[in-house]
Amino acid sequence: MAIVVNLDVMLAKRKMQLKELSETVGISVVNLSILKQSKGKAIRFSTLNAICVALHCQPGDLLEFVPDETQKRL
Amino acid sequence: MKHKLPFLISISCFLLYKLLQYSTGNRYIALLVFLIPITVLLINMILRKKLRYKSWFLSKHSFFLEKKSSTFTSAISKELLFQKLQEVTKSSSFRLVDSNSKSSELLLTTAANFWTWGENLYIEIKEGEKETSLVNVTAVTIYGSYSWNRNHKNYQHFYESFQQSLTI
Repeated sequence: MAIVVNLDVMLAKRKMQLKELSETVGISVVNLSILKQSKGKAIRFSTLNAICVALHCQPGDLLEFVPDETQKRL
Repeated sequence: MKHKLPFLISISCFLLYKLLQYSTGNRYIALLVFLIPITVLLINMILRKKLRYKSWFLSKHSFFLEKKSSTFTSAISKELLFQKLQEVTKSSSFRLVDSNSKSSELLLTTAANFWTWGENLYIEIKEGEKETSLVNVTAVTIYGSYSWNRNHKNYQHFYESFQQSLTI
């Protein structure tokens, strides 16, 4: 997918575990793992907001556009 | 209505028994005609809650049960998907009655109501190609060779619940 979620990078920067973030934002570890692996279908603004508050970051720190092979050719 | 169902069934069975007894003149034949399907129903109701009896319901010899199998692919890994589907079940109308983490299998049931004795959903997760997972869902009736499209609706409901849960 062209949108990559850098949740693992931000967690490492803040020295926070996924379980700790899960308890803070009220989203299950399973859902955060799916998000971390960029396997989710969509992300709610409320989720993004909660993660940004917990990790003291901007949405741009979490989401990144990396064009895949077909998009690079365009 | 749900609480009146056992009463209505009892009355119907008694009336049918009397009718058969009257027409055949033999009460043992009439009893036997009832005992066979009632026994099958009772056995199915007991066995439906355990994954180990999966083969009983999914066997091709179980012609008296309607089965519908469907498969979908997911990009989520097998282990994570096993946990995810358990979460999906909790937020849906299905009831998770049994699971096996080793074989990545789940057993979901639907509740009985006036129209149905309930259905089972057997879910099996397998590893697919290129880090994907294959989810095989088999919906089966507990009693009856025709589900009145309930098997298909159950699968659709489960699949939609899963897709919706991917919006995090």
